[in-house]
Amino acid sequence: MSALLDIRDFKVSLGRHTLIGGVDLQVQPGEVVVVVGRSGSGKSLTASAVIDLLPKMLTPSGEVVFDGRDVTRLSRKEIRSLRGGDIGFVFQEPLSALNPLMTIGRQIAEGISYHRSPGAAQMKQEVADLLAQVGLAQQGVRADSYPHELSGGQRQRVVIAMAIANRPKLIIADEPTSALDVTIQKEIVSLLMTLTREYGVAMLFITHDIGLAAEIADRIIVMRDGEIVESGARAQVIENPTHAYSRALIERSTSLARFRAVAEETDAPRKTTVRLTGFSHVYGGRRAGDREVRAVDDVSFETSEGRILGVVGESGSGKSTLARALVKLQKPQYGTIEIFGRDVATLGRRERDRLRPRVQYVFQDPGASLNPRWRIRDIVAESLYAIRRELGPDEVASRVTEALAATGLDAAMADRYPHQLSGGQRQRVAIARAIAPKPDLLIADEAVSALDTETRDGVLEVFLKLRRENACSIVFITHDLSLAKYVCDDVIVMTAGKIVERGTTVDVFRAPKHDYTRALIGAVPKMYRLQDDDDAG
Amino acid sequence: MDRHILLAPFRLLPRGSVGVLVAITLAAIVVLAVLSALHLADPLYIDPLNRMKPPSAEALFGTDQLGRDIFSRCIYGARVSLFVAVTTTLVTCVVGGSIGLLAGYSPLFDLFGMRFMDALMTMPTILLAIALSSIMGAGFFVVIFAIAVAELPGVSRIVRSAVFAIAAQPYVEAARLNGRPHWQILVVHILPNVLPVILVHATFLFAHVIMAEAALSFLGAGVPPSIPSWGNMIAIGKDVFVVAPWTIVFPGAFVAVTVYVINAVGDHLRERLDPTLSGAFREEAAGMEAQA
Repeated sequence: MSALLDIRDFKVSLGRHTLIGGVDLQVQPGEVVVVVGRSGSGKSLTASAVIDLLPKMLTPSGEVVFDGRDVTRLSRKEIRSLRGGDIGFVFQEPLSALNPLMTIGRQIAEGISYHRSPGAAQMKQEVADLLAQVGLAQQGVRADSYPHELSGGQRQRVVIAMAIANRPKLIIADEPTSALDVTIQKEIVSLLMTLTREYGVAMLFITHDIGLAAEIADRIIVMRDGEIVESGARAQVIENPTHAYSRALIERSTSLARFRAVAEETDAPRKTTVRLTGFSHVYGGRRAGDREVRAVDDVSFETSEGRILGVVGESGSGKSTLARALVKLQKPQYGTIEIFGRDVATLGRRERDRLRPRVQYVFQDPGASLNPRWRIRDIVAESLYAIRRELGPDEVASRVTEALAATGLDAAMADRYPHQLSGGQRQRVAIARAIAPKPDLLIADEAVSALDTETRDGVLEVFLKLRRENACSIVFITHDLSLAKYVCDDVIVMTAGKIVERGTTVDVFRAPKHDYTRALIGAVPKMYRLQDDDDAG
Repeated sequence: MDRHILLAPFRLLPRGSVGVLVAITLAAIVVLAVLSALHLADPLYIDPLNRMKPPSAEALFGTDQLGRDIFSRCIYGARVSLFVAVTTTLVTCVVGGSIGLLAGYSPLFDLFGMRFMDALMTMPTILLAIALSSIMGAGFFVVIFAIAVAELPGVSRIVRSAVFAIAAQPYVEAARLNGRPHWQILVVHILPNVLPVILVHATFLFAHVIMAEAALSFLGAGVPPSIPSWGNMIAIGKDVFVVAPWTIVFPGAFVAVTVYVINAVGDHLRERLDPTLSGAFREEAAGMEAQA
């Protein structure tokens, strides 16, 4: 049986640099092949090459044979008929994949009409059928809805509907769930698997998450720095990895366990750093007809020096609104916020300025939190602005170097610009900026979500060091349960603006009381649950 | 030498044949403008005996109906057009840019500032120019002022939109959280990111101003007729176009080529400098080039 997709000796270069150096990859009809690698490993480029979507400045070579024809030698017309026809794709960002000005029904129909011309009634029926197949009809989503009316998971289902509309032979999914919440991830992945199994469609699935690969793959391919380092059947790769890198990937995913030991160290009585009482934040509702949105609803909690508090919730749970409120040092809409024992509503201008360097924030998006026109050294020094006169220019410079070093960045980076750094490095810069003033309260909003495992572990070490040496209180916001479990001392679980569960990490994970918590725990891929976990899902 | 600062402007030019064309034309314009200081025929010298002569060895572009040498008038006209274009563009960008910057950042200023811009938009350029020149006499000030007034609202709007997008970025919030005063945030964080937008718009503005000046001069509301400008050359040339087409063709060609070239540069600049281009590969390429 000849392979459906046969990539032979595929190379990609940019000028003198080789981005991908000789990849051989095969996908049999009906097979699920998962390519695993961190950002920059070349996995997405390989996928783009299959449908000839490589950026113009890159030079490919080698053969990419799909269904007997070499894609790199096809005419534009032939390639267009492949895309969306025999080859469907699902990309990472469902919001960007959909035209915000067209209804989803029209967009799906558009995808169909490029390849076939059913009559109007037939088209309507096909669209309705597709919406049912991807589970949207059941959720009450209609063909005349617009993308902005749907959630991220629903949008991704629309994209999947477009991908399967013309009964493709191969679906290429490039990180289709990375931008989604973990419970939705599970749904989307199982939807993809069901559809591919049902129609005998082959799938080339790209991800950085080897735990996910372990759940769905027939075969796994591990890539690093543009080369394939391991390739084989799932069972074999997971249980007997031959290459050191794949072994490291598998081990690192489960490496969080070592943080647990460290997290349980200290035990002395501590001062409260943050206390919230009855905090609520409501958007809208001020004008007639405007709906009120309770982003945060009557939340109260506290944490102390040297403790790491995890705030776990999915998008829309209010955790970011909460985080911002903590760091703004302004009177909240409703309720009270006390920082270091002071009610923020009573702070005068001077006191607030003095407090600023002690309360730092790490933003979620590493790209947008750095000014693209500034050098790294100036970006990191920003957090020292309030105390720059006190410290003096020399001390500021040395703090910057110190902070960079603490996050594992070379001092030479200080002269660079953000666009010259990788995503992981940018996030480390954002963290360096937060730790430069040696804060007493650090709020990390999904600070490690965009990082690969290696970088993430490095950053977590930095946080733990801060905690150990400065008795820093950390509020760690994340949607990733496994992370919270191993890194945090206490955890609160939020959904729809309310806290549904709270307690020490050990207690919450051992015996979750709320259904939502249980659902969250159950959505984590099996590989990340270790033996000492209780069977929670 | 590879990264020498003086070569920086050249790296902004388009690649390939368009780039070469652009570079040559820009160089030619500058050279010509400079040449005007040297031994050209007097553009104001009236020589009725040699009126409306076609291009020849003595008069490269021919003569107009007063016998003046068109070639030298084109060159001198270049000075006028370029001076007006540069000054107007500068004034418009600085004033419009500042208003846009403040309007995008402060909702209060937005309210008043944009209403003021609305008022400016109601003024028809040509009428304004004519009215002003009848009060103050024709001259550079009138032309610059009238065109600037017409173009200010456009610039301020573009800058304002850009500022909205930039001010929403986390790094601006980070600056605020760390205690930076608003005015500093505007100057140090927002302005550098808005500059590419202004720069690109400036190139289009430049081309537009050249045409606007030509139109105003054509209508007699621009620079005084004794000073040659491409616009008023075309204006007087239209009367004798049928018998002496060179009176219009050459100044017209100068306008057309200059406008095209500036537009091409602006187009290219926009591609190069557009910060919203999410080109991860472009960044990687830039990053890799830097590390090479």
